[in-house]
Amino acid sequence: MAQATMNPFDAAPKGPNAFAQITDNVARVAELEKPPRGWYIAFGIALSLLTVFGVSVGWLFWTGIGVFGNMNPVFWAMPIVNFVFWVGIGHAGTLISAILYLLRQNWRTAINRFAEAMTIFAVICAGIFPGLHVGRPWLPYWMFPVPNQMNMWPQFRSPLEWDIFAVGTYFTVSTLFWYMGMIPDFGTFRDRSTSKWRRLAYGALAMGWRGSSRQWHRYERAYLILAALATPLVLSVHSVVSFDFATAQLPGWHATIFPPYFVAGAIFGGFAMVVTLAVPARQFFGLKRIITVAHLELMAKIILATGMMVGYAYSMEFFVAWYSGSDYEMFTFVNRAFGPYAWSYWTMIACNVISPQVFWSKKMRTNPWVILLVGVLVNIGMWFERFVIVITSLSRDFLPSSWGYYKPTLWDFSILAGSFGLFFTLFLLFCRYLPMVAMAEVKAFHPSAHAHGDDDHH
Amino acid sequence: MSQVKDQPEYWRSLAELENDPEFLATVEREFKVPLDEEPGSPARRRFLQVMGASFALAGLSGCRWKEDKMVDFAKRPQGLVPGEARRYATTMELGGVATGLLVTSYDGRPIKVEGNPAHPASLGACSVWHQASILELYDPDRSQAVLKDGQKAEWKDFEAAFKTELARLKSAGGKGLYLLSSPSSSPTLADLKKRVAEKYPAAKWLHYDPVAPGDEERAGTKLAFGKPHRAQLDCSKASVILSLDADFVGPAFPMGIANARAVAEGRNPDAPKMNRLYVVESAFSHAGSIADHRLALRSELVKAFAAALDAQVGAAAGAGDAGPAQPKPSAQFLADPKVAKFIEVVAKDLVANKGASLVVAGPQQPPEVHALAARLNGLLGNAGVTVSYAEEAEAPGFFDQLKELVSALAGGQVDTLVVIGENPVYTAPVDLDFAGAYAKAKNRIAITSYVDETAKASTWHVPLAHYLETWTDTRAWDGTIAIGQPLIAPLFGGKAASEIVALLTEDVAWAAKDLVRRTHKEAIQDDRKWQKLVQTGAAAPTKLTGAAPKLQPIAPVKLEGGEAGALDAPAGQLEALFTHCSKVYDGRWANNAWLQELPEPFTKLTWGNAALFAPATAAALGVTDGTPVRLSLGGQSIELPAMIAPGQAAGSVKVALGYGRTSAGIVGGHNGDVQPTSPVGASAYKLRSSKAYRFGSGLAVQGLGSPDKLATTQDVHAIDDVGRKGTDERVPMLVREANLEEYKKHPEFAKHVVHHPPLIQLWEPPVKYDGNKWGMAIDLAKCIGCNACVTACQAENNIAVVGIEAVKTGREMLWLRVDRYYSGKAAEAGVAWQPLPCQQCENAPCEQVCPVGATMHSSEGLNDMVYNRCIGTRYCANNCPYKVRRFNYFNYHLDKVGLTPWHGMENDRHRVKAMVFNPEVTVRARGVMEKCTFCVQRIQNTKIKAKNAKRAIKDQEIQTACQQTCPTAAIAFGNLNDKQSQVSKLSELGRAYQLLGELNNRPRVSYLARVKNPNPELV
Amino acid sequence: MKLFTFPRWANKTRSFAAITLGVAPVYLTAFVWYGFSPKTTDVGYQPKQPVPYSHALHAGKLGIDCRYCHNTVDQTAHAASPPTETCMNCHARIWAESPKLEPVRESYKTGKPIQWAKVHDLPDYVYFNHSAHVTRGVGCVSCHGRVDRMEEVYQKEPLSMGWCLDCHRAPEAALRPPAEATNMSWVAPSPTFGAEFKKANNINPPEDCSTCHR
Repeated sequence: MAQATMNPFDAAPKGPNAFAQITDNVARVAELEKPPRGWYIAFGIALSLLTVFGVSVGWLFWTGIGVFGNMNPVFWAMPIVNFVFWVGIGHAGTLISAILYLLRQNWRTAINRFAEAMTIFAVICAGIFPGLHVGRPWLPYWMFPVPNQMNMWPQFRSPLEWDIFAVGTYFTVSTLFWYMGMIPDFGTFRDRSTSKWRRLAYGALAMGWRGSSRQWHRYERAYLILAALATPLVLSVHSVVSFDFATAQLPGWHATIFPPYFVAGAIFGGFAMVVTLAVPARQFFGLKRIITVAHLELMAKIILATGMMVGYAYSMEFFVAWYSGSDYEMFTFVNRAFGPYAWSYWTMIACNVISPQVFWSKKMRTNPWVILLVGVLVNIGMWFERFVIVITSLSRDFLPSSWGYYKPTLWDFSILAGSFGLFFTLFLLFCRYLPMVAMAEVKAFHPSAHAHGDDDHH
Repeated sequence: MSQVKDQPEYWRSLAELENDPEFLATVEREFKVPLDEEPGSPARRRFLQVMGASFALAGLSGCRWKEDKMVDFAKRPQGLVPGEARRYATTMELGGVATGLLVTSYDGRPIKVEGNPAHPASLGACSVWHQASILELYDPDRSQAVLKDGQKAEWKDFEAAFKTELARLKSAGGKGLYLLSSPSSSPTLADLKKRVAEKYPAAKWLHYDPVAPGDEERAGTKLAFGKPHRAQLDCSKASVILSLDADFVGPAFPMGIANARAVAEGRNPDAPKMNRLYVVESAFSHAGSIADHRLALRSELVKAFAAALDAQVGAAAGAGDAGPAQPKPSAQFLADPKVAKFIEVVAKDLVANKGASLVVAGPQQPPEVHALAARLNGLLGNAGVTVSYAEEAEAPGFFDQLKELVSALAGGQVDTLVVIGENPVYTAPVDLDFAGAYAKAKNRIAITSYVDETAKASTWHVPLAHYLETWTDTRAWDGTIAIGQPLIAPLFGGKAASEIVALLTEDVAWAAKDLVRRTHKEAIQDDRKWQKLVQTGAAAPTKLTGAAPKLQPIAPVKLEGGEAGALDAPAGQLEALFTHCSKVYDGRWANNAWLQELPEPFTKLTWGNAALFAPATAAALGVTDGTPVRLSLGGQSIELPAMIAPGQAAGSVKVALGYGRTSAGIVGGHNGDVQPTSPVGASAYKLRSSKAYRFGSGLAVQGLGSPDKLATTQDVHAIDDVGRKGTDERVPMLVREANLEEYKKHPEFAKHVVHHPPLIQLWEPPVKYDGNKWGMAIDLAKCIGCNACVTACQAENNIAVVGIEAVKTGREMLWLRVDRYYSGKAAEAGVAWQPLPCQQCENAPCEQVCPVGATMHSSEGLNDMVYNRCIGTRYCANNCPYKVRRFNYFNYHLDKVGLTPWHGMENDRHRVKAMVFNPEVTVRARGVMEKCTFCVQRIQNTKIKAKNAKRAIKDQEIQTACQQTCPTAAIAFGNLNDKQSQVSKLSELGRAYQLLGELNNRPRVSYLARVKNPNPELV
Repeated sequence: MKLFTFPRWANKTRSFAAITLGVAPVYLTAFVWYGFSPKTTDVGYQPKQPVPYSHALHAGKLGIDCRYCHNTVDQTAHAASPPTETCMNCHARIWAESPKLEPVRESYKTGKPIQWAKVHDLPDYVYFNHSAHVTRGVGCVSCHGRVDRMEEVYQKEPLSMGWCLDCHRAPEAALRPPAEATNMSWVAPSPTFGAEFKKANNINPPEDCSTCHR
């Protein structure tokens, strides 16, 4: 990126005790006696949504999958939409941490920490849905290759089986990556903490980090290796998820463009979620000087770029449908845009293709609140993208005799809302108790970290 | 259900079958309950094994699920092999029309009804009603006690009371004694009727059935021949058939199944000659659906049409000594060029095929039409060839008999009225006010299988035994006598009709068995002969001898009111058409969940009835699918949802009878105190009157607001333009069709409808299919859309009923569906059927996406579906291009009425219902996918039997349930590796094609393209 | 302010944690594998029977053929348990007064069946057919063990799906002349007998799902 050389930390604290100030900015949040009222309100809302989630899941397991709106022929519906949506969200984190790290995009350090957190929480949400939507939720352990008395193994030709491994691996590696990155900061927290319990907790988490140059050396090395490991996963996981559809025979699913299209979409949605979280977070926790407008602008540019890619994919799908000469394929796409579900299609276009266009203007992409708005819109749009793919394709496939019209039930929505509850509960706890910004790394790229003091030419 | 709880003794009566008090035990052992509930279910096993494992690690072992018992008889009845299916011949009667049946029984528990190949009215096939009758047998809502004024009483109380009353009546010569029963062909009842007449000269025994065929024909043939006759068709000899509003291949028509078989055989385009079928009718019928030419006329216009045709034919063929032909009637619609042309061409074709043509009149058409049909057949020299006549006894029509009864009741001449097997309080035309008159009789005795509307209004009620619970005998339409033997002792202590009547004639109580034996004295002389008669279920030499009646001149028909109208009827003067329901008949099966949930063939409507409008009429009235409408006729009115029925005659509104029951049972609706349920549909009897009995004009329709969602299984969503366009483009590819000439020119046409790149395999298929290779062939030219296969499949494979709400959501369960596609312009639309079982693809899309391998390919080419391995990801169903997979969103086999999901099977209602389950098929529980398996249980059992006997499986030895019951033999199943097998030969035909074959799924089902034989002069 | 320091031993916990993390999944797998298997849960199951009927005595000492009581075994899916009549054929005279046989006489008098406890109990979604196996030459002993040596019958084999498949994949060991099916002590004349017999009678046990599940 052209901006590779600019240093967005200009706004960051200057002067001899700049590092101390950065540490202070970040650590203060975890050390406050009482977090800001905003946090309490947000946490209250998140917690009540989480309760809704619990109740819905309980009822679902008690009575059966029929509480959802799924029907013939729409055998997959909102649970799967939500699954893909969350997996998509769970991309930006590792992307920022790993790929941008390898690309030496230093500005990432301000946001990578909670982007990673977001990733992990999103993948947790995603992981829950496949389990929820199977008919007999007490049996999915059959999908794991465990030797058993039946001499039965999972069926490795099934993309669902691939998902298990793809998502599983992705989750493990990103968790490791996240935790590893936090170790030095845990050290800092430990050393600053006053109460015995905090010391104990952060101390345990810090795993005896002393900041010795040897430890730093190994830390850097390990970080590099994990980054290298995580990078292919960023691409693989959503490619594999896209196989769930691409390998099927269904018009509208059976498309070779899906893997890149899904990855682009995931990054798009992922960054949208990052800004959605970053803007309020920097507001509440006074991190304006660490997560600067320049950071936000960079992300806005990425959103704009990926948004265009997604838009390209949409149009390419139509072209290929026509080019393929398959009547069923063509019908499916005409039906998407003009059939009974046209409303969802156009919502998707409006949010994903049109709304990011505002970022062509510098004024817009430097205004946090516009960025926040677009971020939210894009999240909505990405959810509808999955809705369009899953539901409109299924509702009208080959034989008109089996066509149907799917309507979600109350439970479909309560579970979706509930999953947000889970996500934000986890995220708010993270903000309260863990280092929200990678202090160590931020410092590493801080002007003061350079030999010749406070100017920024290299 | 409390009623059941009070009297567990039905278990004992069940046992009486084999005179074994503990019979139930074996039956119970046979029960299959859903995976989740059964001892060995994965859920349960898993749980207990975890425990077991933990114990095991603690050094203990042998912990497992609850102990099962093995219970055999103390004395095993001769020749009974536990767990082996046995089949018994019996017979069922409906509206006086009998069909011979074979019933499969497991350990004394009948579970499946099939047609009896030895019986002329069945030929091995049967209808949805026969198929579903097994469910009625195990319906816990059936009446279970004698009732006096609604209070539970004992049989002996009734017997005593009845006897004393009879003694009084006897002294009065039977004056004031009336009986009302269903029309019946039973020789035993006929014999008893004679005895009643002797013993009670003044007594009257009347017959009523709201929709039974035959009485109009008797009157009509009387007009034509001077004496009433019954027509017996031989469609196999007819190369041109004209139906005058007659669904003569439908199950309700006498010998309908036999006719269907004959017509279908005549419609084989690969045979040297193919028959031609003209149908004139108001609403689509099964006959109309396969017609080469169909003219949609309101039923009231058919009379004029027949007269006009007679005029035409008379002119051409000459009337001979049969009197002058009809003068050309003056009816507006005859002026229509389309109609005129039709008459001209049909007449020409009929005359051209003298002696090989056939004119059939619909049972609901007035006598004149039957007379003209008889006359036409006479003039055309068909009498004795394609149609023969048997003389009938003089008898008024069923409606007139009911009217006679009502006036007698009103006149207070009725002291005691015994109603047997009918429900006049519900089924009588509204203007007779039967209920009101009924109350005037002192003793009202209802012998019915349910505590229905009539039973509720009676002083006494006695449960009527199910036909599988008692000895009966019937005479088929052609006179063939059949003996019906019981498959099981009365579950709820019901009595046979004959047993009740015998109380009148005999001093001591007689058992149905003895009554039947007494009737067939000469037959039982020779015990072996009797055995054979009972075993085969049909006595050949008892056919009614064909009479050769002479035609008499027929007076010119009189046309009143609408009968001379134009093609379309003015709004407010629409024709109301009351027909039997193709599912619940006249309402007697309103509590039969299989039938309620069966999609009506044309509308695909389940759980209720609707008012059917021609598209034009609907447009004029501004109503559409689901619009609630008020139908008003003769001061009466009912409310129903409207539905648009392409092919319906303009100005004619069809309403099916048999809905809106208020005392049917929990399924069909009842207002009793135990778990009352609202009625299903609305009762058209509330609109039916003496003036408009079968049909009548003067119907006014008023729309009542915006459309509601209907519980249909096809076209569930109001179709938009995109969808309609897409459908129109596809249908020709799905249902491939041609005229006979085109077919003769291009025998391979069906293979070239869809153009696609060559279908190549990426790798050698893993399975070789060197043993058996099961395949199916479905002939679209033969299918009449009668649904028998659908219900047969449901009965064979323990398919759950999901209820109206689930159907509305789109969660229907039926494995086999019959897709219905309309073609052509809405007014004279054609219809095409496509039965759609699982296609058992060789490259099955469903198989490779299942993560746990719950659906796998067998070495014989079946897509095995392993319910107990399924975890319910539903990916297979998404990937199935035919969408033939069905999913258990809930535990549908639970009796949901008043039960929470976590109730087990352990309630009495369910224990009775569970007896219908086929022990050879796993009962699926919540959360698993299911689908058609080509009746793999039948395949496996036959294979084992053959192997045990070290012999090969013969072609046709294995029959799938759908194939076995198909009246037209449109479905063939067998081994594709055997080049001589029927299915191989059919699949080789030029017109054989594979549905969506271009996807390279390699389906194992071949469809034989539909070929029609239209008259060149009309196309 | 003084830095908080963990005691030295705390360092060990790291390696300990690492080991547990590594071993846990393996242990779990092993637990499921072994613990969930009918080998563990079902083998040795020996319910109490209403009548102390000894197979060892009848089938063993007296050498009564299995089919005398389980007479449908070679014709049908079920190997029916005998009706009380069958017992009384002999016990009308032999041990006619024995108190142990009271339930049998009771059942014969009243016609109420004896409620035997089912030992070999397959889930209802498994369709096993005795005749198919017996007529093909799989002996009783292969699945039921030496019943002729059991005082009270217990479950000898796991009867698990894997166990069934093992035999369907390599039936040789279980094959014998059908006439010898009920002979508990039959031994193959030659080690290759099974293979030859299999070939001669072309016995190829299917492994399709629908062979057992419908």
